[in-house]
Amino acid sequence: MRYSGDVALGLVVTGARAGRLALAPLRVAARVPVVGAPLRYAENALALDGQAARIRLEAIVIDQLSSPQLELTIDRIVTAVLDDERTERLMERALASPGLERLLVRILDSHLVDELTERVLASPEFQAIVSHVASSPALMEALSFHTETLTEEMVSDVRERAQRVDDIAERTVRSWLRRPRPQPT
Amino acid sequence: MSTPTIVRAPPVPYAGLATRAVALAADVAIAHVIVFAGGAILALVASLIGDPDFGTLGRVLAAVAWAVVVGFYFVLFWSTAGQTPGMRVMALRVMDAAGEHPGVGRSLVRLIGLGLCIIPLFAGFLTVLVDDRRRGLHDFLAGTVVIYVEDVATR
Repeated sequence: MRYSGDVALGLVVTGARAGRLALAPLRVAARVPVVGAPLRYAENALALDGQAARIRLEAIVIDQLSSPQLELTIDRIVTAVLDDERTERLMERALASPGLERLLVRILDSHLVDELTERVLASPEFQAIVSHVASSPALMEALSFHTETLTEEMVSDVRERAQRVDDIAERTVRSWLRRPRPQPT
Repeated sequence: MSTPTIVRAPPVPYAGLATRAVALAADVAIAHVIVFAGGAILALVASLIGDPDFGTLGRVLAAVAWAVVVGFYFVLFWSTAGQTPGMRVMALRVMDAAGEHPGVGRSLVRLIGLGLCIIPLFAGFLTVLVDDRRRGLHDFLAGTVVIYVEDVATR
């Protein structure tokens, strides 16, 4: 299949070369005084036809490029390529390569990242995002809930410890005085 | 003739010394925040009006105000809710022999008793360790007991 395609392309190239060779005697003849004028006229007519054909071809190409069909086709091609197992294996190999790791480390170590980060942090858009997130009711509610839970846990812990100390202190003092705590009746 | 069944009441969860001490410390802190905040506001107002000069009378008045505010704090919460904010945090409640909140009179007696407990280096609280109902001197005087609220609620 690949071979026959190459043959077809070869024929086109050869035809173009042959055409150029065939035009060479005509160019020489165009300089001859008697036959030159009609030949130049014919050349101009051919050039005009060629120009019109080129303009039309360009219009067709532009039309095709801006058509939704092309977008769909590209989308199908990209999807097919990305879904292909070979692409996946290729990406896995690329991600596992030490070269990529070195490249990423170099990028992260570069001043460009620091500068970019600083620029992003200082940008009004980022500040607006932070303000928006910080003032969001969902975040406030979550923070409030966690704070309450933490406080409750702390207080509960203090209560339990204090009650243990209550019992220990009482048992100790009662043991000194040899006065046991009365059993509940 | 059926045998009468004896139903034993669960033991009353009388609160111990450490829990009550933590609650008292929290209450004293809260009361003093109130006193100092009020004092700061008054001092600010006085400084705006003129040059404040606190003589002996001023100091005596400040001490009386301190005692009144702290006393009012305890009496108010004991007599209305049966627990101060500190006692609420530690899940404690004070009640009289009938199981009710102490009234204003009983709360005042308890407040005086509290002062008497504190004066001899807190020795008045030591009876909590040996009394069967874990009562301090102020509880003896006012006829009150302090219990763990959580235990009562879960029973």
